[in-house]
Amino acid sequence: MKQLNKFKALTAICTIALASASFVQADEAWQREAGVGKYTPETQDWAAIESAAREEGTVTIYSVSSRIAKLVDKFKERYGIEIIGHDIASDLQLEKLRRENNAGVYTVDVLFNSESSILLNEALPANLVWNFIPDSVSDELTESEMTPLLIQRHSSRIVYYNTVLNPNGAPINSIWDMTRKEWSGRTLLPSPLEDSLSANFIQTILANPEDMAAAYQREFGEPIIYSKAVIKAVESIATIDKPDASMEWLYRFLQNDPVFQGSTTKIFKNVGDIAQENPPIGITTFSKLRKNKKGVYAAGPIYDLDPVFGVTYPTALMIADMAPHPNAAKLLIRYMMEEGFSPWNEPGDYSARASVEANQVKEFGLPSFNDLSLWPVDAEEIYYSKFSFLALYLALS
Amino acid sequence: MRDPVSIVMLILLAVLAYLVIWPFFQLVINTFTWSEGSRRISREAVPGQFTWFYWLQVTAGPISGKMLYGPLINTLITGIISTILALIAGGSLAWCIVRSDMPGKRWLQPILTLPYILPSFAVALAWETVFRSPKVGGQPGLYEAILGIAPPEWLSYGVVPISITLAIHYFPFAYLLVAGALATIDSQMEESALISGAGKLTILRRITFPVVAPAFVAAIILTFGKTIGQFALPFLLGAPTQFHTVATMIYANLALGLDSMAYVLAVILIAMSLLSIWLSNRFIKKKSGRFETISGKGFRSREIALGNWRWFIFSVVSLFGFVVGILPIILLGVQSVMLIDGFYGLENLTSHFWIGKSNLNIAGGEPGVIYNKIILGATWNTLKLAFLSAVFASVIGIIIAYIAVRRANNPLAVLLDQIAFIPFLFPTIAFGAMYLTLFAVPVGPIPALYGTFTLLVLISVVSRLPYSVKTGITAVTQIGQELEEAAEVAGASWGRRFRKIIMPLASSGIMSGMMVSFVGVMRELSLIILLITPATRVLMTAGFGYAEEGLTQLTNALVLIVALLTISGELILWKIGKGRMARLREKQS
Repeated sequence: MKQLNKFKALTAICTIALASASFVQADEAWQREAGVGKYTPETQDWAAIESAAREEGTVTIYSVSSRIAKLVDKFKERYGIEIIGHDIASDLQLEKLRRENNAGVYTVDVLFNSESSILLNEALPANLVWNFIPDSVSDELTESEMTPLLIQRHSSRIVYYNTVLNPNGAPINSIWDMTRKEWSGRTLLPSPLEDSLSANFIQTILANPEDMAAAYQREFGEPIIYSKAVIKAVESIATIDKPDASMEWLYRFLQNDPVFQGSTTKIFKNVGDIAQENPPIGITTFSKLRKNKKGVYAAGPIYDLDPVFGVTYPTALMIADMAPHPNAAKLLIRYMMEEGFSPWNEPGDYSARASVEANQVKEFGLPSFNDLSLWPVDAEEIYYSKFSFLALYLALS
Repeated sequence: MRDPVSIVMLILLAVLAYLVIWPFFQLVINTFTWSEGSRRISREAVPGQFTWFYWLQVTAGPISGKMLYGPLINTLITGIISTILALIAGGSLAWCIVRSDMPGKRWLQPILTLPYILPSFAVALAWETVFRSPKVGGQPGLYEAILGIAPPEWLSYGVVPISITLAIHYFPFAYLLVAGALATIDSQMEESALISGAGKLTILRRITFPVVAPAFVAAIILTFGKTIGQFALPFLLGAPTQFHTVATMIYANLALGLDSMAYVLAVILIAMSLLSIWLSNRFIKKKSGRFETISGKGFRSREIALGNWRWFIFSVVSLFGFVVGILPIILLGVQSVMLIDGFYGLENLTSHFWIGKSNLNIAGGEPGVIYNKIILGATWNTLKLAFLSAVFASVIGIIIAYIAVRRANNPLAVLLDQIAFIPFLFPTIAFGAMYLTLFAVPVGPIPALYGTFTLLVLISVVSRLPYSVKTGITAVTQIGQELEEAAEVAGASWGRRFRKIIMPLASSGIMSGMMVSFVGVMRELSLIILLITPATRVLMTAGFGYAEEGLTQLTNALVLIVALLTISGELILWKIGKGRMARLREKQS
């Protein structure tokens, strides 16, 4: 162990020596140049930003959505700037950015990312990313959509049912119905152990035990009694103090043979396929609604599910630390909030901008975002309870 | 110390130490250190500090049963069953193709390597199409549609389907390796046995099997090692019923951002593989010296007559080849021409995804394959990457194999062989992440390779070394030392001996190794996903993007292109290899 410690000490000294000397100064200079953090200017001079951006010529973005490719031609036509779009999952984006920054390689300008738990608890405190709000859209956003990071849209995970084979409406009205015998083996969802958004869904339910207990009372007409397995699991896990209704739900749900499927599209289609006898229900992405097709797929959201319709999570836009093209980054961020939003204009995904959302509500005939009973993911809760969640999940499955 | 072999050995050791051991060392350090993301686990974590936490949690904590021991048992069960199945299938097929007079060999040979060409998840998807359980919803599976009853649960998910599909996917390993070894059997050995009064079975037992034993051992290690590291198949066919292996647990921990926990499991997997390679090295050392089959004397290979069984065996092999090799491709092909996926019917057929121009009503305006710039660029990159990596990996592989076999008494040579095997069980995504750091800035004489195509080639070559070294060892083991000694007496340098004797004689082994690497690199996704840039995009990363967008048809089309490219690449390599072998035989007779 001594050698390991020596090695560590050596690395630490080198890192500190190198970092404190040149790196911090360079970063400081970049912040001033880019106008982020404490150097954010009072007003935004878009003519200057645009001409500087044209000078920079390219802008590199790590994007959680491959639809970024659809902006390339139009952006080039309009501003003469080339978008270099990397299609990378949210958590990997931050892993890549961190390693590049540590090695002094600065290539990326913009991050388009929906992993708020890591963003807010690791990347932002470490100054790996910087917030930027285009003034052209700021009066259309709420405070929480501008700080700590600029939100482009709100996506959700919700419960779907087959509308053609259930002509009298949704076959369940409470999330506790999923633990009933008749729904054994008939709830589809991406495995929380593979899909971090599915894990977020379950973790958000775990974060709201009182609402879950009240919903239990409404569904079964009696107060909840915890199973032995739940009590035992809680005792074995040091980071959890006492059992609650959400844990009981998770236990009963997992014992009721939920079916895990990798693809959210497939879940939607398997629920909505009208050529089956006993359709399942499915927890999947709200915006899959566009996949409905007359005579083939008919799936609809269970809006009035007790106690909650679903779990919503934001996708944010931000500037990477030490971005080589900060002005082009700003221009691209503004563009993706304005006409560059079009690739993501879909039923079930809600723009953060009030006016765009109003148009979406009209165009798609859906309730407005605020009228939906959605639980937002709690970035801090999700971040700090990840391990407890895994331990609990494994203990109860 | 002027011995060129020793110099090459030392150089290779140094290079591999940097490319394999150093990243491995980092991986191990990670499992003992609180990292940036560790506050997810404990608010007390101080990044950079030493900790036993991860190891304790995984091996002794309350979740260790579900996290390690249960999955470990599942891993061993599916690994062992699928390895046995793959060896039986691969071994007997290799014998039929190489040693018997079965008809139609020319056609069957490439077909039998098809299952490995398809991405492993394609086999799983094909299985699901047939044995899909009605509880997942949607259209019933073929089994249910034909028989009218739902398939039993154990046939849909769990040990049985995972073991069988793993065996289907990996038996070509065993087939190629054993076929390579069988091709070197001199018929004179069998004839001598026949004259001495041995029956056919005795010959098989006493001559054929011992000679191919090293190939079998290599096949066991590769198959077993690969099955225990395989993620996609156990996930698709196990996760629906919460069946976990160590590999799916690694993935689960990575997906939840608990990377250090994943690395602990990875180190355990690597330890398992090192144990198995150590056992096999002992075995090869003990046995193989006795079976040098390519000697300085004449060489003849004659086929064994099957008699009345000829056509029966042909039918069985063809049917097998069709089911495991052709059928999945047909299913993929059919799905790539359906306007609405999963909906069978003539009115639903379209050629849009192949030859259609951008149409905003279909697939969000994504043009068909031949007009799609992204796909065309990715195709070229894929070919370049697979070809270069396969060539480099096999040449370096055969050199390491040569050193490992000829200097088996030298502990450094054994070490070299073992190091070359380590990349095999790295969780590929972690391996990719380490290379990102390793080559981001120049270190001494090594330039920064970040974002370059060279870096992709480098990591691909290193990740293929375990295969090329194993195939190389099989090939080199069988080349008698007397050939080299003769050349040495005649004054040939080591370099010349290696080029003129070892390389040509081992060429069939090298060729099959090259094929395996060519295919493997083509299908690789998670290894390079962090290192790829839009300019170096390959087919699998493009296909991954389409799958994420739910454009099933384009994904299937891409998988099909990968399959077609691989088949053509394989045919070319096979032609070259065949030509060389034929010339060699001519020279010998």
